[in-house]
Amino acid sequence: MQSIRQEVVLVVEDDEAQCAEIAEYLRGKGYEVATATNAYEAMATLADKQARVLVTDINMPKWDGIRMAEVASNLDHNLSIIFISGDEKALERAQWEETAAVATLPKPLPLQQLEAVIRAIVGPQS
Amino acid sequence: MTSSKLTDLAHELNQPLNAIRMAAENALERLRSGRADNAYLENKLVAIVDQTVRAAELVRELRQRQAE
Repeated sequence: MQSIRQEVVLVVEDDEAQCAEIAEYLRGKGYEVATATNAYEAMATLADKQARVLVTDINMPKWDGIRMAEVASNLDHNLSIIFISGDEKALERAQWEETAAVATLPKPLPLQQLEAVIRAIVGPQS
Repeated sequence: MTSSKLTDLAHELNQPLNAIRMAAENALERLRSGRADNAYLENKLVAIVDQTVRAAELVRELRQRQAE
């Protein structure tokens, strides 16, 4: 029997309620989801688990999502990055800076739209 | 209130609104797939109520700051 590999999606969002809702939706669509509520926690998770997609908020205390994504994509060139934010200026900054961003999505974020972007990167999960 | 403080508060107010939207989306997804039991729906509704309380507190703070 052929084994089906689940792609790991790491969700980084400092608002715990939103982080949990994003994770629930993606798990329901068949992805293996890891979560972190700050950049340090996210980097520790990336060291432990090979993620295919990083979904990250931008405005987070101490270390913002753009800086973290730069470091993470330098460590793993296969990592696809999706920025989510309610701050239009932050999303513009993410588009202009040297990041490996696949998409920048404004909040309020339709979860269906986020999943469609992830599916386009990794393909449908079982 | 300065425009920067107003922007910060607007950003803060967006957080519970986003959480409410996502909780409702997850609940709808479960309902449509026929996998929503009462306990799950109760948890989701409690989460939505909690986030509306959070939003209301921010609106109260906004009014207080305007009055200062």
